Amino acid sequence: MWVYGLPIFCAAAAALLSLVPLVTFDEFVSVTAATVAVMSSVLIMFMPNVASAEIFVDGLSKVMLLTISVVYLTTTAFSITYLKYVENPLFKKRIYYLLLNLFVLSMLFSVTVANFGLIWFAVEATTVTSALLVALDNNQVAIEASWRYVIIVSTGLVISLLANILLFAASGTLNAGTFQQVTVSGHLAALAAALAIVGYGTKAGLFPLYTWLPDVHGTAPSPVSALFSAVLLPVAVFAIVRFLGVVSDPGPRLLLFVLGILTLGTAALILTVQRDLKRMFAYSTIENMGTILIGVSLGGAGAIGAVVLLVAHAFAKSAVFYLSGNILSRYRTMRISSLRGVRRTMPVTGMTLFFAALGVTGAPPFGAFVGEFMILSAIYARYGLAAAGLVGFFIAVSFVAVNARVTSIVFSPVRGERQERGIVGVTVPLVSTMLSLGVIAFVPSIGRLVAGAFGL
Amino acid sequence: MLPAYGVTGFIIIVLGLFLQWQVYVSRIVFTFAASSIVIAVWFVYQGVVTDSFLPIVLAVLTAGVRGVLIPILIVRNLHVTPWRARENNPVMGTASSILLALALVIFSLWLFGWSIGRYVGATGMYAALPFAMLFQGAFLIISRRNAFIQMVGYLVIENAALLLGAWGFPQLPLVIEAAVVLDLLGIVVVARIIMRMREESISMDDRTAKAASAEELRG
Repeated sequence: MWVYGLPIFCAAAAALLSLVPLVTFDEFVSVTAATVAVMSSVLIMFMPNVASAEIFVDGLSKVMLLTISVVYLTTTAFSITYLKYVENPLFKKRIYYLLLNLFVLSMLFSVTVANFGLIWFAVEATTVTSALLVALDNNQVAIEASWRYVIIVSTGLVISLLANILLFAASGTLNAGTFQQVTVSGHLAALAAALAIVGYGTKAGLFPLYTWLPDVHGTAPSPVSALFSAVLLPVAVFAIVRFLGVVSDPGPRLLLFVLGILTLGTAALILTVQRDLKRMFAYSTIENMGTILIGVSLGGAGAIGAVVLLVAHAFAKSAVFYLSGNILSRYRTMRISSLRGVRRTMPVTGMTLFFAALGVTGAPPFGAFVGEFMILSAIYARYGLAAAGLVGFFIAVSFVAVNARVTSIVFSPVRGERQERGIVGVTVPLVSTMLSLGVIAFVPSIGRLVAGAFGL
Repeated sequence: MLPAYGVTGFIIIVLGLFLQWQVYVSRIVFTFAASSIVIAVWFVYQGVVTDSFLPIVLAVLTAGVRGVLIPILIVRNLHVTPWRARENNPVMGTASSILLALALVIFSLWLFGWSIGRYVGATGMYAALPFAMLFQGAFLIISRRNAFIQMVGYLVIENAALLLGAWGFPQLPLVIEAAVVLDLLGIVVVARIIMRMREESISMDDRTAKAASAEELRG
């Protein structure tokens, strides 16, 4: 049983040890803890599901554990090189690693714990642990974004607290294991699920509550943006999946479907007018979350497609944010019109960005393509050609908007000296991009793992 | 127990309305502290009536963290940022704030009856009181620009959730309630740090102007 808690223990130990005032010790313990977390998450994949009073680990939890652990590892590794370029940090390096490890700890806890109330606690704890990380750059814009993040997300999460209270009223329990045998029906349960969608949706970037997200992604340090986009938002989606799994009423699923389409559509349209590279990728994240939530609302193959997209997106999106960090350190701006000829000045960064952007937007053969294809097929089967066509249109708009800008950044002609980042700075995003590509090989395994979570 | 809950909820709503026409942050914080203490007293009463130890623990947590510790944290911050002691530039005027807050109470009671009320029975209608309080907190956030007051708005919403959970479903595990209180403390501490940074990022001239303006309006 203790193995299931090993990733959490690693992050907790790294958080404490980061405070030891030895040069580079914080980096060493964080990368080591993340490596052990990845290894233990891989081990957990081959272990049986567990449903006790404290821990609830099913296939979906296993996929989330592995995804969070891998992004944890790449982020701690990339932070080593990125922090050298932060000119006026808000706090010392060891405080950064302390908060980073606590942030990951709260995410790992939320996908492992059995009690719905404690899932809420863990998701809220991610706000506490990550708010200061957003303001690392120590300027007025970053601090303002951090404040908006705290007040909007915390207020939104109170709504999901009400959802927990109503679920308890409807069922008499908040233990996820209990809901394996029975689902809850009735108006109170449906209302609880609807409130959970709105509450956790605030954190997942759901329409119309996503307003904090572009500001935070645009101003946070690149490794933190990567964690937010790749795993924090999916953790909120995970909480929504858990709620939908226990409520049999179809109403909340329809609500999620509609909100998912509105999220996707809004983000796709806003993407066409973006002028800042990191904000553009933030809206791309909102677009992907919209697509994932549509898949979740459909259940069955659509939900499996959503998980495939979630995993592939996590790796590709963390890569593009790391690469944005590389570009920022060289160009000192994120304004797209000022970023020219990255392939010449930073060849590996430029080409990796080109492929990672394709991965983010669902180009074949990246894993995101398979996920989006499964979701579109499920929409077609459930709601017909018009609905599938509408979602497909928004995905196509996003694809063109992101890749046209990335292509102009990477391949435009420019004269300038070559100034590529060091080996860690280019290897970590490259590995993340390749992982996103490799997801396609594991689609059947992911399907088998998460089928139970979606009642298949 | 229900009449006592009704009285508690009524006092909380009156205090919530009182918040809406205050402009001094310290008074708003003390009003929030008072409403937290009222909720704590309700928990003590619940513990005595049901002969249960857990509501008493929750009462101590609520009074200690929400009623004393958090208000102290906020008010101490006010001493170093005196130009934040008063809301000089609210989104809407005092009169319209009061009218809208009253209208929100009526609307929220109606909304509760229309949505949740018909599924929870006659006794369940008491839950409409924290529901109305939730709207008061949200209104405080959107009607003010002062970060401290927005923070109190969020705390009022949290208090509403606490009151709803504790009344409607007293069997709700204490660990959940305790986790909520701890989370709240974490949010307040982080928010306080961010607010301090916001203040420090404002230029000295701007601070002096705001402080002078606040002094002029004091009275």
